[in-house]
Order: sequence, then C-alpha cells, then structure tokens
Amino acid sequence: MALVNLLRFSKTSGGIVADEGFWNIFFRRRNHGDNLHRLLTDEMASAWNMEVVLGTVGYPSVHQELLGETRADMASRHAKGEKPEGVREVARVVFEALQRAVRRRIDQKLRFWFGFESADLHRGYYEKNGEKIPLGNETVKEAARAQAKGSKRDRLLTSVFDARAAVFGFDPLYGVTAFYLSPENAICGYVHEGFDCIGTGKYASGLSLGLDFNAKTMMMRKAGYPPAEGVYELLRSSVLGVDHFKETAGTLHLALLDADAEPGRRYREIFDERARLAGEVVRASMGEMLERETAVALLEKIVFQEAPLDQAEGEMFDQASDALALQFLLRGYKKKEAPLCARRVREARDGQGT
Amino acid sequence: MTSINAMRLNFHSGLMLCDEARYWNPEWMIFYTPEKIRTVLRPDIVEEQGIFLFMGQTGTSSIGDEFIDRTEKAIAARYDAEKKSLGRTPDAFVGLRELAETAFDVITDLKRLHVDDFLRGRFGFTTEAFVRGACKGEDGATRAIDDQDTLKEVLKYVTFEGMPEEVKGIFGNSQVLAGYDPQGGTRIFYMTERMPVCEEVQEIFLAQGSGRDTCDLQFSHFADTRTVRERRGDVDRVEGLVALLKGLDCAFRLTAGVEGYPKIIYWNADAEPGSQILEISDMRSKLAAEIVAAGREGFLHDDDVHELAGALVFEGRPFEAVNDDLFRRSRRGAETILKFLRGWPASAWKSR
Repeated sequence: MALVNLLRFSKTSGGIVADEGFWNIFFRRRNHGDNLHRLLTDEMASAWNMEVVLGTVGYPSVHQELLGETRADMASRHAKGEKPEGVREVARVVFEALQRAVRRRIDQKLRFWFGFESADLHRGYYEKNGEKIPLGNETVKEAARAQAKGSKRDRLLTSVFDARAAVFGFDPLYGVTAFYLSPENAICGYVHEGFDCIGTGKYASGLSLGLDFNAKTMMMRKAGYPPAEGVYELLRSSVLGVDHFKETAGTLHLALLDADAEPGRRYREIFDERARLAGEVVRASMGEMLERETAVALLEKIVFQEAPLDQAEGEMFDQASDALALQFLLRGYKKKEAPLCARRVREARDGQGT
Repeated sequence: MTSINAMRLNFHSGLMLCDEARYWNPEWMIFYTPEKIRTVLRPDIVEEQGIFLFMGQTGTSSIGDEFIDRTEKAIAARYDAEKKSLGRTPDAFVGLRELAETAFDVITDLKRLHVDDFLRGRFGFTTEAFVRGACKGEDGATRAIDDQDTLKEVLKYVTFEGMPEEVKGIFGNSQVLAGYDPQGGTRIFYMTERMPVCEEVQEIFLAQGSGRDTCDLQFSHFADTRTVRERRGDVDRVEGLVALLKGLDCAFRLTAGVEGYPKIIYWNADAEPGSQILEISDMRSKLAAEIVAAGREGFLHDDDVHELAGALVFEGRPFEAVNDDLFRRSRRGAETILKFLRGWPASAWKSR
C-alpha cells in the first residue's frame, strides 16, 4: 500500500515523500515501490511555468495506467500549443484516468462473465452481430449491477478501489496546491491546509504533522516552513508511518518543488543514498541523539546544498550525542538498548587499550 | 503474521526461534510486544521432572495468549493434582504427547467458548443447543432449532466450513509445541484450529506463521542435506541455529508481519542444571540475525558466520566482542558493512 505525505512549505515551495514498501499476493513484502512521478517534461514545465508530481499508494498497475494516460494527455496539449489551467486541471486529468481505470476493469469482468458492459446494463440490452439481446434475467442483472456499482468486489477490484493518489504542484495562478484522489469515494479533493498523508502510514504521519501544526497559531502556520524545516517535518512524519504501520518500508523518496528557483531546479528528486542519509538524520533526532536544530542544519546541507555524502554523514556522527549509540540505533537496535550496546562496546575497547 | 519455528537437534536438545511483531487493530499498526514462544511449564515442574515444553503461537494474539496462559495453568493443575494424590513428587510425570493433548484440550474448550459467544450473540443459542436441536427461550419454553437455513449457517460457524469471515479470528490460530521429556526426548508438535489437528512432527523442523513459506525453503534445504543419521538425532547445534536464522532472515525481508528482534530458545537436557535452557531476545539475538544477514550478502565467510553466531548464542561470548569481530572480519571493510547493517541501498555496499 505504501505511504505518501506532502507538505506545502510556502506559497512557492513544498515537498512530497513516498516510501518503497508494498505487498503483493500472500503478503509477500517488496521494498522497491516507485511512487513519486513527475507529470511534466522539462519543456512543458518551462513553457507552462508549472510543476506537477503524482504520489501514489495502492495497486501499482492502476497507477501505471493513469500515469501513462496523464503524460500522454499533457504531451498532446503541449504539441497543440495548449496548456492546462493549472495543477487543478492536471489533477482532473489524473482523476478521470483513475476513474476510467476502475471502469475498464469492471467492464472487462462483465464482458468476461456475461458478454456485456456497464453501459449495456443501463440501457437494458447489448448487441451482438447486429442483434439486440435484452438483459432479461434478473439474477444476471443483479449480479452485474453489484459489480458495476462496486458493491461486490473480488480481490482485484478491492485493490483497485483502495488505490489512492495525490497530485502536488505549483502553477502561476494558485502557487503550490495539492489534490487528493480516491476512486472509492469518487473524489478529487482540493487540499486547502497544505498537507496530506495517504496510505497505510497516514495515522502516524498525520499525528506527527498534527503535533507541529497544533502547537502553532494561525499566523505561525501561515508563515509556513523554511524548506529544510519543512523537509524535517515531512521526513519525521514519514519515518513514523514507516516504523509503525503495515506495508510501509524501504528508503524514503523525496521530491521538492520550488517555484522561485532557477529553471532546472524547480523540481528535484532525492532518492537512494542521499535520501537514506536524510532519513537517518531525522531518525537520529527522533532517537534523541541529535538536536532538532542540528538535524535541520544537516538536512539543509544534504538536501538543498547537495553536500558530499561522506562529509554529511561524518558530520551527523560528529554531532551526535553518542556516535556509537547512533550506529546501533541506525542498525535497528531498540532506542532504549542502543546506548547500552555502545557502552558495552566502548568499555570492552577501553579495557583492551584500543 | 508471524514466524515461529522449531528444530530438533538430537535426543536431548532443540531450538526454537520467532520474531516479535504484532499487527494491531484493522489499521494494522505494528507493535513489538508479543512474546510468541513461551514455556508452558512452571519452574518447579521443570526442576522436579526434567521436562521442557515451549509453545509458540500464530494468529489472533489475544486468543493465542489465552491459549498459552491457560495451557500453563492446566498443566500445573494436573501436576499439582497428581502430586497431591501421591503425597509426593511423581517419579515420572506425563510425557510431551500427553502434555500436547492437554494443550489441545485447552484450545478446544476455549475455541468452543468463543464460538458459543458468537452463536449466542447472533442466534441466541450455543453449540450444545444446536447439537440438541432445541434451545430455551427467555420465557423458559423449549423451541426447536429446525430452520434449514439456520442449521446450514450455524454448521459453517461451528465447523469453519468455507472459512466464514465472522469467525476467522477464532479459528485462525496455529501452535508449535516443542520440548523434551526424559522418555521421548526432544519432540515437536503441530496444532491448528482450522482443521483441527494435534500432530507430532516427524521432520526435524517445523515452521508456522506467515513466515512459513520462506522459512520452509531454508529448513527443507537444510534437512535435505543432512544424512539420515544426522536427521535422526545428530544435528550440530550451530548449524541448526544458523539454518533457523537464515529462514527468519528471509522472512524478515520478504514476509509481511515478521519484524523486530528474534527470540532464540535452546534447551539441552544434557547440560548442567541451571544452564539447560537458554532464552535470548535482546541485543544478542539481534546481533545473531545481523551476522547471518552479513553472511548472506558475502560480508562474512560461512565459517565466520557459524563461529560468531555459535560463540554469541551458545558459548556466552560477550556481545561487544562478537560485535567487534563482525566488523573486523567483514570482507568489505567496516564502513561498508555498517552501511549494509543500517539498511542503506545496495549501491552503497554492493559495488565496493
């Protein structure tokens, strides 16, 4: 299922995070999910003065389908010299593709079972070789209606309806905005408050962000976040989600938006080793081994200044309250046991004069 | 969502291994709270009879915990009754087979209690009334239970036919019982409420829980490559331990719900009293898991994996010494193995 969290830092900047975890049939765990996708090419982004990123959780095949359709739609507009009105219109394109993806699967099933589709169900007949065949069997109609409405679902349709997506971006008219997409509730909802958490880790992530929001006045909230602080809050919420809920795992992927930046720097992706280190910095702070301010300063270097990883990693350990304990924490030792592990190792080394 | 495993090493000794993760509530929040394998024998029974028995459970946690707690009490009550009737400590208390049957009786009673609760809530009568074909109404009058639809539906709940969702929580548990008694030696028993069964396992191992399929692959390979003599009671304890940890390592990576520190249980009736049972569930078991993971990715030679894991678990070599050795013996340097153990992407440790 995975987790996608997004946060608007200011009118012109924001970040979105996704993990890599998902399960396939029989609860086989996989840590190679790819859930953040840029929807515009460099050319489109530059010409339209926009950036849009899609974050997805749930059934990967559905997302692959709507990603392909949306990108094709954008390419077609660009080729014709047209452009979407803003992030909202791109979100609508994604949402309609998502709804088509659902309907296509339902129709496929109805055709497979009965030889007709949802549209035939509504008009009461279907055509075959020019012949009009009425849907006269009430049992068949009842079964078909249950499928068409999604009230009766097999494993596939359950997964399809459970899919969720977030469209996050900026445009010249509204600045940074986000939309929440759900086929289950047939909704493409505007995210006004500047944050959202979707997927299985949403409760832990929401709690993490809520702790910060709820401690601030309206004016403070409207002031937003310096980008590195925003990244800290986003990563903290994501680490909590990954650690405490099912179907979440792996390294966190981060995509950053900055409408004020130079072209080419307005959309940036932080994956793999750099993202891992950024996550570790936040984890170290959550483990009370690194001050929050220090962690934010390190994120500034790792995420925004693109400091060499070895150097940033060295700084993380240098500034930790106990570098050895931090090593154990990052290896997955329990927070309350890691200092004990470190102390034992240190005492043994001291005893050996090393 | 669990991995519980047992292995018979020889007549006197065996191993069990599990994880510690539980999914909580419909949102499946992860908690590292369960103790999935526990002894079901009171210390005085172990001491006086030289019997060891451990019960591992998978499925609905609350029901499984109740099974284990009640089994312990039932065995203790049986022992106390026998002691009282004899007026002294029994020369030989019952063997593992009888204890497994006791556990199964406890499970049967509890399962029936929960099913009765469900039936009473939904239909207003219990299994007994269903069997009798009649129940008493609130006015005290007897009413027949003869509606065909009701009969069919209730039968499904009582027998778990078609695995009805409503009672999955009651029937979804399985248990692994393993231990030692002086007459029968080390034995493993398997129970599941789905079928239901209480069977002794002929193989040298048993894996249960969601981690079963990945563990089975490792354990089967291990058993396949032992000689008949070994399989009948001469499995090296370090090799057995590493095989179990390899299975769990695979489950940690590939199977949902298998997470946290491992718990290792080892018993050896041949050892000195007081050191016959080892239970490890702290930094040492975590380090043992790391050693095996490092071996899997080629950071350690096989010999080193066996030596370090064996010294850590069986020889009482200090955690700190083994931890330092793990880094010292890394074939790709200490910094690289540290990145691996921290879960960095393979690009950080594969290419060097």
